[in-house]
Amino acid sequence: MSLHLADRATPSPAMAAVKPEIIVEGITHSYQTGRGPVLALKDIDLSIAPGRFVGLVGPSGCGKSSLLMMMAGLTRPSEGRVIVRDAPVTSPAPDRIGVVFQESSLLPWRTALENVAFPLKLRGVPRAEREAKAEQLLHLVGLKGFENRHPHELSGGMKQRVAIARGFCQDPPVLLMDEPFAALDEQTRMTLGDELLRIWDQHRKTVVFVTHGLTEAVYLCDEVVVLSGRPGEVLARIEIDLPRPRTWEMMATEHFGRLRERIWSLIRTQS
Amino acid sequence: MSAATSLPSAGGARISPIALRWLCLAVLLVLWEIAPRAGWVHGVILATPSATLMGGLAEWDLFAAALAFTFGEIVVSLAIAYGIGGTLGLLIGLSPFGRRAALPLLSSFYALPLVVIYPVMTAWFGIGPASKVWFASLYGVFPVILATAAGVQLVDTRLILMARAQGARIWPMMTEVIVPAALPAVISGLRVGGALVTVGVVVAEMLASTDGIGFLITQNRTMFRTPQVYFGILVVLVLAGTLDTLISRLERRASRWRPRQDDSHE
Repeated sequence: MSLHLADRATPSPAMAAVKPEIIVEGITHSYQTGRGPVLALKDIDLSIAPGRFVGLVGPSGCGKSSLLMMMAGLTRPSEGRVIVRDAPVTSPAPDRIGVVFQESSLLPWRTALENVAFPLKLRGVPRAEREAKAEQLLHLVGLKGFENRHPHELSGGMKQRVAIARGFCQDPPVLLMDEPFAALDEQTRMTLGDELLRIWDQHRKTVVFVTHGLTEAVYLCDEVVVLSGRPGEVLARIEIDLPRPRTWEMMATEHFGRLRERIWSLIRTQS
Repeated sequence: MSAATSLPSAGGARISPIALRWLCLAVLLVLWEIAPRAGWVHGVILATPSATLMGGLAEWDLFAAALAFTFGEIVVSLAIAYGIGGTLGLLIGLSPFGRRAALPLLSSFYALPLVVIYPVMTAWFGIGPASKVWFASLYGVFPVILATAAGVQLVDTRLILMARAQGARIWPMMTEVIVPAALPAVISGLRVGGALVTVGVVVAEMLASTDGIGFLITQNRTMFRTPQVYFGILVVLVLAGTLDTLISRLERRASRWRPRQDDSHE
């Protein structure tokens, strides 16, 4: 365990040699509005190594969520392509890519357990098997005893826990998270961030995490990609060389502050 | 007696709304019984409830057979109206073209007095049950289409996006997301459709028929057998009421996100 963690503490030089899991190649995206075409993203190139936790930040409207939807195969870029695990992504690929959405995207007529098991149901996994796995994941996100509750009986934080559990239940190597904690209060957000890291440590995946929260980005990620204002371009890729596991105390350190400040100064010049 | 019953209401909010409803019904029933007896209304126009019940029950065999016949027509018409209406509503609600092209057209059809085409239907299908079934199905299909199409459009797009990300294709998308989300709206359409189907069958039977409750009502009316006419009306009311109760029970089940709906692991 400690060996494994020590390994994580020195990511970047070793990672460069590893074959990337996600490649974003020359993505440019524009869409039509009533007042003519809008260029949303311009010449985005990214490569993300397996097992990395990468944040995507930028000013509002920079297209970071759109970029994530393209990585998920839910939107087609005007130009360029996304490659995940050596295959281009042109449509949703649940076996390779999972998505955790911003606000609760739970089926309101299904229980917490059924919601977590939903990806497996779509794949035709038998009920007993999928519910056993879903139960395990619900326990992992701290929702033991809430299996048979419906979403309207859960708090916002609990709903997002269910959504995260669903993402891990689907068990894809790549998990895309679109501002999963945006609708939550500060305390819940921090707690859930810790929980996410804990689960991620047990079920290691490549995570791309879109967020508005800079503290959150630094706290969670191995690397933060900063996008510019519209049209979104990659301004910088900032390596977060804080050791793992991350702890609350790190937030008070000078290094944490400097990393956060670097990202903020990049974004501030944009808006 | 009447002084005693009026006391609580005069005293204020001591009577519950449900009790008040039953009270109104009882008062109405009593007035109905008294009116023809006191000579306020001629007996041919209004039969007393007691005469209605006795007159009807004396010919219960006849009414029961007619009721079974009418009930059969209603069930078949409901199946057609719900089946076709649900499918069409789903297709129209899901396609932007359908929404823009078909929906306004259907809404205006819905507003037409469709009874006028019943004679045409008897010409096509005869005066047997077929013309009733087709007419009632047509009569009841519009609210089902409109409610289903409306319900489908209310589906949260975030849920559709989520299911798409999970790789859901058309069929699972329908069964897992669109239909459950639209269900409460659809069922209110089923309720209106059910009422219209009942009206359609009975009215058609009254206009041209050889069997059924509607036929019995018309036949008794032409012979001035007023109690039997009222009994027939009563039977139709009970039939419509029962149907409505059944559907609204379904409605309640579908709209409180049912704790246990399709569980089979017990």
